[in-house]
Amino acid sequence: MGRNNMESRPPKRGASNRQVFWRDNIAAYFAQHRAVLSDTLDRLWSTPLSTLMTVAVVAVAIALPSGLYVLLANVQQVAKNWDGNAQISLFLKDSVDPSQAQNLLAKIEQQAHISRVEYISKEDALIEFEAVSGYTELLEEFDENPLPSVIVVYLDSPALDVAEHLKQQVIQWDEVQFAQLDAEWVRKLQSIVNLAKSIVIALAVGLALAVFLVVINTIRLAIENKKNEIEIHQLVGATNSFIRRPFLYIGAWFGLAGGVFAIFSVELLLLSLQASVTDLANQYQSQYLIQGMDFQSVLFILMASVSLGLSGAWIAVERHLAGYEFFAPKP
Amino acid sequence: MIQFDQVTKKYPNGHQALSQVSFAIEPGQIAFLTGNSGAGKSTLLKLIMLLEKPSQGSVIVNKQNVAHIKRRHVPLYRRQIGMVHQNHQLLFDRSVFDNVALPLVVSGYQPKEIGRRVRAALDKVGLLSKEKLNPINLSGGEQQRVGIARAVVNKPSILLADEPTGNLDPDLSADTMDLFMQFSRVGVAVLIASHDLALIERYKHRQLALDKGRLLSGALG
Repeated sequence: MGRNNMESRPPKRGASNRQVFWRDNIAAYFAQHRAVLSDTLDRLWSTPLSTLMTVAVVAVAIALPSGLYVLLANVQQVAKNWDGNAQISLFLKDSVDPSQAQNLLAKIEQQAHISRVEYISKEDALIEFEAVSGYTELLEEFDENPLPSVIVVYLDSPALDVAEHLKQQVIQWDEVQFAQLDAEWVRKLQSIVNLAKSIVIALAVGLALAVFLVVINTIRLAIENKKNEIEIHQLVGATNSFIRRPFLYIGAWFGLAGGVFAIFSVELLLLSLQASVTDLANQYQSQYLIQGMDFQSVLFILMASVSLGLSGAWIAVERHLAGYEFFAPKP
Repeated sequence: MIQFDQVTKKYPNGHQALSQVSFAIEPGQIAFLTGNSGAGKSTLLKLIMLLEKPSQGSVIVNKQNVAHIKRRHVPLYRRQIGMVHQNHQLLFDRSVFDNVALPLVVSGYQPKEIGRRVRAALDKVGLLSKEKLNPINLSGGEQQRVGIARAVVNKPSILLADEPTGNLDPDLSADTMDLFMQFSRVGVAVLIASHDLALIERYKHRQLALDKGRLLSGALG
C-alpha cells in the first residue's frame, strides 16, 4: 500500500481516528487558542462589574508599591543630582570684616581639593533671604542684620572623608564660628531612601500575595460556575490542559488589565505631582522633571502582574481538578 | 470489545453495586442493559467510562485493561466511547452545532473537519436545519438527538446510552432505536441501559439483566 494511498484514505473509526497529521495538529492548536482567547474576553465582558472589581483590586495592589518605588527613585535622583561634590558652609563670626574674609578666602583656596569658594556677605545673605523666603517682616523685628556672612567652599570630590578632614581643619580657625558639611544630609537622605525602598519591596511582596489570592478566589468562583461544562468536557475526553486553558487566559487577562491600569494610574499620579514639584524646584533655582517609569520597569510590572494572574489561575484549576479524581465516587 | 470478567464494585460507603459480573460485547453487537433502578446499570456504565474503577475483576475495553490506564491517558481513552446521557448533558450557553462539535474540539480537530463531521452527524439525526439554534429551544426528543449526534460525531467504537428513551413517546423511542441499530450495523458496539420493558420486548436484542448487582441472564451473547 503506497503512502499517498494511506493519506487519502478516510480516517479509520475507533481509537485510530485521532491520528491527525501534525501540521493539522498545529493549525488546530492555534485555532483552539484563538477561540479560547476571544471566548474568555467575551466571558469577562459579559460580567463587566465583577471583572472590573477584580481588575481594580489587582491594579491597586500593583500600583501602590510601583508608585512608591517610582517616587523614591525620584527622591534618590534629586539627592544624587543635587551636587555630587561635597560642600562646606563656613559661618563667620560677626567680628570678621570683609577684608578679613577676603584673606580667609585666599587661605582656603590654597587647600587641597578645592573647586571654588564663594563669599556671601551679611548684606548679600539678607537680600537672598528676603528674596527666597519672603519673611521680610520677621527681619524687621531685628535691630540689625542677624545673618552671618558665609563662605561656601565647593570641593572637587564627593568623598566625605576629604570634606570631613577640611571641616575639622577650618573649624579651628578664629574667624569661623561654625562649619557645616552639606553632604551629610544627602548621605542621610540616601540611607533613608534605601530603607524606604526595602520597605516598599516588602510591601510589594505582601501585595503580590494579595493579588495572587484574589485571582485564585476569582478563578475558583469561575470554575464553580462552569462545573457542569467542565464535567461534560471531561466526559467527551477533554484533557486537563484543555480544561485549564480558558482559566489560565482569564487569569492572564486579569493580570494584564490590572498591570496596565496600575501603570496608567502611577503615571497619572506623577503627572499631577509635576506642578507642585516644579514650584518647589523653582525655590531652589532648579528645574526638576519627575522621572516616570522607564520601559524596563513597565515591562517588569506587566510581566509580574501577568505571571501572578497565570499562576493564581493555575493553582485554582489544579485544586479543582485534584478534587475531581476520576475514580472518586460521584454523588 | 467490552469485556467484564468477575467484576465487583463496592462503594466506600459499603454499598455493593455490582457482584461478580461477567459478559462480553463484540463489535457490531447491540445489547440492552436492564434492571430496576439501583440494580447497578449506571455503575456498570461508569466503569466503562472510567468514572469509577472496579473493586475486583477486570474491565477490558478495546483489548485494554482499564485498570492499567494512566490518569493522563483517560481523556484519550474516553474519546473512543460515545455516551448518550439520560438528561442529555447539553450546554445551553452555545448552539446545537457547538454542542455536537465538543468531542472534536477537545480532540484538536481542524475547524473545517469539525464543520464537515458535525453536519454529517446532525444530518444523521435529522437536525441539520437546527444547527444554529440553542438546544434550550428544542423539544426533549430533539435534545436527545443532539446528545446522540454528539456521542457519535467522533466515530467512537463503543456507544453507551443511559435510559435514552426515558422521556420520549413511543414513536420517538423507535426513531432513537433505529439510529442505534444503524450504528451497530457499521461495527459499533452499542450498550443501552433501559428499564423501558415495552421497548426492550419490541426489539429482540440481547439482554443483560441486572438485579441487585448480579447479572441474571445474557452473560453469554
